[in-house]
Amino acid sequence: MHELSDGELMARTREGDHDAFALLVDRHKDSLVNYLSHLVRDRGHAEELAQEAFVKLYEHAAQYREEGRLAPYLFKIATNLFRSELRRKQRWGVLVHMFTPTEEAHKETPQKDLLEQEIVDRVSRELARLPILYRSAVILRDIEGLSYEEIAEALETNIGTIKSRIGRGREQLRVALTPYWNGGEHARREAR
Amino acid sequence: MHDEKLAEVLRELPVVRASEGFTASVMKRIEERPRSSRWRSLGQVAAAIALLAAGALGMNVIHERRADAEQREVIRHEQEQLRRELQQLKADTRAVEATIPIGSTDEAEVVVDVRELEQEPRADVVYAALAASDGY
Repeated sequence: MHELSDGELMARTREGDHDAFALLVDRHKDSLVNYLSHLVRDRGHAEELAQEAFVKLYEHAAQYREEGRLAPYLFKIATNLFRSELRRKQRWGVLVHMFTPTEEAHKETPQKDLLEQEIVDRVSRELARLPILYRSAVILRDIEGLSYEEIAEALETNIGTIKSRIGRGREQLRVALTPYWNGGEHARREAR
Repeated sequence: MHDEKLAEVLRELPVVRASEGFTASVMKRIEERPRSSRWRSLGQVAAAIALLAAGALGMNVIHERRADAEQREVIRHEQEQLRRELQQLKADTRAVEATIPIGSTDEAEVVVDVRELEQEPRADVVYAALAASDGY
């Protein structure tokens, strides 16, 4: 069954084949969890959202039309889930500090040294400060490596807007990271 | 800092992988979902039926009100038309000659003034007119 395409697995899922859907989850879980981890900066929260996204995908299997683009479709579901959650929290005025850096999110990857860890933290922190529209586009492009077209599909907008969001997001990151980057150890210490 | 450097830095961010039991958790949620979903579906169907019934009732009320309004408009229109016809009739009546000659003698000409007529002709007036015309 492993050689089957996403579309074929979705077709089997529609017929009630749970194994086919489990294979789809296996195939896409890492990229989705990675994307959401960078987006929400909390591994547990990212996993929760990713699971919810897969359940939604299962529920909407009948509506899914194969165009060879399951990944953007999944990213779209996940992004919308996160944005709805943000809106809900903002509406109720209990916006939690979900962007506070947590060590847990990056525990798995062994760090070569402290400096590398410092760079990772700094970049992650600046990435988390970007507005969500820029952040999601930059992560999908620069970390997940999606094409502009796929990102446009995932974020439900046109390619021009996506290019603009990525450009602005990168610019903000550049501005935030440049002093740190150029200033060597002293600037790094100050940045801390 | 150049784009390439930034891209490189972003690519170097640690990759977060899904946890060990991720797929099993998803499948468990899917397995558990139908029971609650069935009730939810029933609830949705019931809500949809209630909504349809309310909608139909509402449409019926609206339809009846519209029919009543149309009926009132027809009556109003007919009333207006009757009022205009009556006015016209009154105007026509005022325009015609008010007296009708019904006969004459050498000495007198007998006429009836319709404005003086009552609904039922008075017998004495009729007899007087007849007497005058027959030469009594």
